[in-house]
Amino acid sequence: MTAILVENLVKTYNGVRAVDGVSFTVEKGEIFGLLGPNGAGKTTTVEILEGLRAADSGRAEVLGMDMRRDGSRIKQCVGVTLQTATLMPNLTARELLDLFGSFYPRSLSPDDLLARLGLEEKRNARVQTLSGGQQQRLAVALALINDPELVFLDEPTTGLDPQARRSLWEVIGDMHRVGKTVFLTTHYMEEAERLCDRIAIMDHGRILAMDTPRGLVQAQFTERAIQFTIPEGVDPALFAQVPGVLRIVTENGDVVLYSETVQRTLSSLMEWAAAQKMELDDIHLRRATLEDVFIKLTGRRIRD
Amino acid sequence: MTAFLKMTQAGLKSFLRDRSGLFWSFFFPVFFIVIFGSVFGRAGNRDQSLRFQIGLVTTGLPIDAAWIPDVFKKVPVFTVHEGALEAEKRALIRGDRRAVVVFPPDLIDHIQIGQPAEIQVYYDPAQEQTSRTVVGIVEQVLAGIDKGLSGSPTLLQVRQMPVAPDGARELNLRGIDYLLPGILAMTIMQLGLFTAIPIINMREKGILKRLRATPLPRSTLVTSQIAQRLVIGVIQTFTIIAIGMFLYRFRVSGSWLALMGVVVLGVLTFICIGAILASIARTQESGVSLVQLVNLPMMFLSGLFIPMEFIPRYLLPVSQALPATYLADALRAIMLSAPSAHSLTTDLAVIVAWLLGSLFLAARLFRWE
Repeated sequence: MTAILVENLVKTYNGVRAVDGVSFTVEKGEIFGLLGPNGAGKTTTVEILEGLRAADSGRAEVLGMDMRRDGSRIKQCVGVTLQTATLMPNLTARELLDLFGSFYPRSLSPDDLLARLGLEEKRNARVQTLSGGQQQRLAVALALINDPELVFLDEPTTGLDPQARRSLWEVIGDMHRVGKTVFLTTHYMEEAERLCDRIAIMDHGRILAMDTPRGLVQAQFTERAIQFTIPEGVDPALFAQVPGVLRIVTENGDVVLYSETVQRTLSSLMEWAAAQKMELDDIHLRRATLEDVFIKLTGRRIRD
Repeated sequence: MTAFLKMTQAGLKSFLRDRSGLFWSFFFPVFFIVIFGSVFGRAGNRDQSLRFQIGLVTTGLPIDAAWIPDVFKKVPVFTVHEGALEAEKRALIRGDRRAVVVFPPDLIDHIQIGQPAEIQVYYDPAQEQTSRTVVGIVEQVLAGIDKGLSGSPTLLQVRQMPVAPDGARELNLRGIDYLLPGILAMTIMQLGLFTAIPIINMREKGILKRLRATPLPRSTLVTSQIAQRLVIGVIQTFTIIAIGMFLYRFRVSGSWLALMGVVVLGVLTFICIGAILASIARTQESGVSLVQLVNLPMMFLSGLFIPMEFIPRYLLPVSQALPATYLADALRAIMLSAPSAHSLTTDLAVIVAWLLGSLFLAARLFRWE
């Protein structure tokens, strides 16, 4: 079953194509991540699906309904968090949930939702007194008030401390377990890698690649990385002499050697270093990460 | 319906929990009444009350007709000067008189043969609002005399000339009577204009956008915002009148229903103007400045608590274009049952015109983000 179907979506702002012919589908029960730097067009895409913006052209279907025709019916069946999390600062958490519940024909109990999101102690606290993490969890609770089949979370953990981020990840994991479809945008690699069943990498309004996190890495990198630190004054270029080394990258003082035959290259490296009487420290192997995939696809780091 | 009620309730709760909003909406107008009230005079203190300078020309009028101009001396809002026609007209042009009433020498002859006598009332057409008020009162007084002459001609009846249509009380315009409807008009104006701030706030914080992602109909959003303001406006109206009654023995002599109707019309009009300002301003700070830019001139040029006669001539056309001028005038007409500068129909027509115009613009300019 398809939860979201997007075909050739285009949205232009002042002559700039913010969304430039995007197509993808999201299956029911999936956590789908749209990963990309700020300004990639993620929010525009998700806001078209939320009914907040009209696309210039292309097709957008949510839960089998056409966005243009059934916008208000779609809004009844989906839940939304926006990037801006501030919500009526003078109301309490419970009042806000109660208010939003009144917008839908059917809604969950505010108290149950507050308990699910670990906010029961804050039920009578005004929104403005909540911490960033608590406000973000409240925003998620609001997105769930109508017990939606599909939840859009736009950069839900941006600006949160690691602990608050982890607790929100658990909440998203819970949604997944009860079979909800989650559409997530993020610029955190770790978040996408950890939560998403499938990821689309977006930049300059286009989708560059789309697959499972592992599939994305494997499709882009057949090589593995050998990473270690070297004594001061040693030229990293010397390691080109080691058999099997395809590329050399230096990262924060570390040397990273890429190889497709990692076992042979590693033993050659050891022999070569012993012959040179060179002390290598902190030697480890790693697979390429989504970050590497991103750099390879876009030519830049995601935060640049 | 539940969504509408909950939205209205949520808005009112937010309003009540915002101390500065409460201050401006309730304590500020009350403060104004107390301060201005103590300047303009307390209950029954006629000497400090607002008075209009009237010139009477009685040249050649026989002694037995002298009681007619004397009636004018008993009108509490008039300070009467007697003099020659030319001197009084000069005083009028200088601005020392609001109106000059000229009685013909053959007044009694006309009355005796039952022929209408012409009584000329000079006034300054540039001081349109004041002149209309004064001329209105003069006409009422003359009509009363006329009635006295054609009916049972007792002087006493004439002296107790009621200006209220229902004859509830004699015209006794004190400063506070002029002031209180003005303060009410100011409060309604500010209630509406300052709607801009919560709108900008909801837009800046993304609350409007978040609401748009729910199935809440736009009409419910808009009507609930209006309902909140109307509830606040009605509470303000009762508060202000209650303070006036308690401190200054103020009485509403007209219809409460008509009063509430005008209050509602005023709130709606100024909400629309506030919504336009909200769409023009980019940030909350610029919104506050913009609202003040509209609010301050209206406060001082609409005759809210500074009578029109103190407004410089060159600013009068501005005054006469402002909706608050007509709101204050309509409130005075209803609350005091006194002749006002404009007819109530004119007042309502101008306010409705402003309402429709600004409603149209507000709808055109509205931005969700």
